[in-house]
Amino acid sequence: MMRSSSSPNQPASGAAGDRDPAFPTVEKIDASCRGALMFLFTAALLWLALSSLFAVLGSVKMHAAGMLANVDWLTYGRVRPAAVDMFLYGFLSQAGIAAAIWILCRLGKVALVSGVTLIVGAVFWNLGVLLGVFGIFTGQSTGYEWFEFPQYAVAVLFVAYLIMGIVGLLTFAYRNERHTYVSQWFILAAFFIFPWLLSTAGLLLLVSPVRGATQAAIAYWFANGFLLLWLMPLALGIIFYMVPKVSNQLLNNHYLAVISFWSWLLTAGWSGIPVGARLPAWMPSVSTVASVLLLVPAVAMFINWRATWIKSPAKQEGGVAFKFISFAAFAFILWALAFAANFLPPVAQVVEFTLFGLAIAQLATYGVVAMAIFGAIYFIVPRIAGTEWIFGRVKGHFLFSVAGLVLIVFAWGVGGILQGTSWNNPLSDFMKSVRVAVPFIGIGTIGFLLLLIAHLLFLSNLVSVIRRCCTACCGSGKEARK
Amino acid sequence: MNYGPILFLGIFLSFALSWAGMVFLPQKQLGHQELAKPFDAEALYPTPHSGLAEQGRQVYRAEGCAACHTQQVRPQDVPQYGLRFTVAQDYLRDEPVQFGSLRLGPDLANIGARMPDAKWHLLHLYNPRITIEKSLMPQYKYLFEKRKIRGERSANALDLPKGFEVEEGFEVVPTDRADSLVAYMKSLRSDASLFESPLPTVPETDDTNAAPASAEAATPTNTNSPEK
Amino acid sequence: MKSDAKKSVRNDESEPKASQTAAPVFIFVVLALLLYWGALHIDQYGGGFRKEVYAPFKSVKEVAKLHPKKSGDDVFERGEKIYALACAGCHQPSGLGSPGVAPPVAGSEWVLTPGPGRALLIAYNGLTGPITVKGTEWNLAMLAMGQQLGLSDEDLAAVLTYIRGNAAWGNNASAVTVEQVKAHRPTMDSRTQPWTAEELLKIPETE
Repeated sequence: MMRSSSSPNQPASGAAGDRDPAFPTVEKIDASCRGALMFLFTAALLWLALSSLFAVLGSVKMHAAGMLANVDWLTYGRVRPAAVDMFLYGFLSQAGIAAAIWILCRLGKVALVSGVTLIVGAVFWNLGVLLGVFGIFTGQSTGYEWFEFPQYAVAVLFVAYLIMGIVGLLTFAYRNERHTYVSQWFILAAFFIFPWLLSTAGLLLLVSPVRGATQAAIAYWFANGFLLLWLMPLALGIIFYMVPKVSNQLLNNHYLAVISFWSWLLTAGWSGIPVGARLPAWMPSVSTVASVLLLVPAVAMFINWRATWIKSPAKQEGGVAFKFISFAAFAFILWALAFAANFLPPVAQVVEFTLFGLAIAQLATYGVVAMAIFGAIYFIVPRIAGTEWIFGRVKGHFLFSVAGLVLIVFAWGVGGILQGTSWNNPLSDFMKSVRVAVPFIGIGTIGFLLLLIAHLLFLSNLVSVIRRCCTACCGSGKEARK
Repeated sequence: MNYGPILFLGIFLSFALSWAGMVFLPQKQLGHQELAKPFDAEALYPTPHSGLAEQGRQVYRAEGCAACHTQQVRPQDVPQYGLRFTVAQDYLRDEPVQFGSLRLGPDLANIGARMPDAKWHLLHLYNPRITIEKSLMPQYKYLFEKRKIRGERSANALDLPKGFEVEEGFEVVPTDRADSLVAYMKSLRSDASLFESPLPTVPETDDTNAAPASAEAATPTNTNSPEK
Repeated sequence: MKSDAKKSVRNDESEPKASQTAAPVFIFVVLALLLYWGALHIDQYGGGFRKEVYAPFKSVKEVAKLHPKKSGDDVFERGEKIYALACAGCHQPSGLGSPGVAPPVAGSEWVLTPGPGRALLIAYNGLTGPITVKGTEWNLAMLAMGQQLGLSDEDLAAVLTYIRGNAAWGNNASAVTVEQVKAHRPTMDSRTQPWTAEELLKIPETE
């Protein structure tokens, strides 16, 4: 019924029939996003390149213990969190917000409420990340994983987020198309939950810290929420949008999407306390159950995406964007399995506190979230800037990113299992577990180098797009004046 | 689900639920913990740290030591890292609590009992390979000052072994940061017998030093003791 | 690449929608099974949501068993039995009491006084009228349990030792000796009414 009435399979007629003449055209919508989104994407990409540079440095420092040993701001314990936070806050969050806002505009068939306000928010956001990174390098890290930025930087980030979040929410509220789609639900959930996460952690860890081990419980809750209820929903919103869009199909199953959305939202917040965490037994066991339950929405979503794109003979149309998106979809299901396994006591007995945990985090943040965002950027930028990518560099970016990620996840995953096996052997001393891990740390370093190359290609591609976009604008302006 | 408000209410409620369970409940349960009175000791546990050790904790936080070191003794870690597993009570005075999530270096929850030698720690920080061959740990030379010997050699200068010496006429002395970090290391010991995590055998005597003494006796099982 | 973009730009007007197919049943089955497993898991490993229980232990009882028997443990066990018989009905085996029935004895300032006097008198002669326990006001009546059951000095000392020193409840007050109970005997025997909180407060904490 639905399928026959508004099938997007006949683009010409379907598209025209779909659009209320009162709604703005896609060209108008995209134009309204142009300035703000290009600013967000460019800033995000700069952070991405910078973060991968420091990630390489950090990884190299694992082999060369004496390197730069006299420079305190470049010690491993500062470089590594700085690189991770630049990636999480500078790139993933920023580019994720930009892509999400574009999707809200497109699905709501409405122009961006206020590009200028969004840019103001973005400027503050980048200032916040800059202050935070500065804080880490100068030894003001808070010591909580994924929340190392000092108090003043968190305050700036919070204000910046409120400005950007309000633009997003207003864009949703003023939507012309009242019917909502699953991408909007995920994005709204993320937009609503993020300030709650940030303010709770800020107040209870930094402003008036709670006592003792409760800090650790809240830090676990924050880091888990940051991944599962902020970054992941943004990525899932993107994938849910891109898969049917690029395949030119209806999403396979509405109700399955409803189930996955609510079951994700209800379970995700309860995960995050590792099995061995030194907290009363109920906390880790609740997290174990939540992490396993997350498999239900994860599998349901994957089935839904796959059933959607498999029907499409024209899925290559989306070209490069779809490559990244489908990689993210596969990485997502792999991650969900590894994540659930990681919370099972017998598995945790071996892999807890090893590199394995880093491998899973890398798979989640890079394999799922970053890849989905890459896909979205490749899809969105030509539309808002009106300029095409240089195809060779996109291909290079994809290859280097995938190769780098696979190397890192493989190396840390295997290295972690070997480390854990060594610890559980009573005859083996600690240094043995370190020696076992060293070659895998080396492979990881190669992986980070590949990622750095990938991101430099990406950045150079964006610079070229912007340059051509500017010349095109100025050029046409001159022609118009003639 | 076309109504924004209903969607919002659902999102709000489901997240509020997890907030109540994973933030509010832990705070209610652990946030008002009080100092414990261990079975075998008179002093309330955990005992306060010296001011120097507290400064050292801030060095530990600032330098990101928790990137590679945990401070969590799980039940399966007991033979290696402590006499008993650690519990929330052990972290009551910590600010911030540095649980850590990766062990590229050994666990430090009990390092004060396992390795009480300050000189060992200073050499280890200056260049970990002096004390542990093939260690991956970065060198913290910036926590030390290399300076020209004027007159007498300083009392606190490091005794660098063969192969690691500095030039003739120079000496390496720890800065305040290094000293406080070592004081912090020495203060890290979770060895009071608690109800939720008792020591394997509660000492018969009422001697308050009984537990720490036995903790030191356990050092030979350490994997990072200088003998190895 | 250029042609790709053009093609998709052409389709751009239509935004994704979802087809209204029925959701597969298996997803509900899997969800229900996993929820059932989850309930079992938390029941088995959750330690009853108590803050004293850490893995690999499964309950407070198991943790309490770890503690080596001290001299006086026979007294403690005797007290446990009397508590289960006479007190647990209202004050609960957890010592936490229950709203509208009885205030908690776990962590109660009336129990953890240096001397056992006040708690002993309540246990023997009962209590009536308003009383504040751990910041909460209660207004109930307690029977003269000790008197009615005819508990001996030894029994009273045992049950109070159990209540005051029950580490599983977080109580750690000193053990009660038979001599301490004997010292209160005249007061207990001459009293025919339940005590009130006001009267009890006149008895020094140390007695």
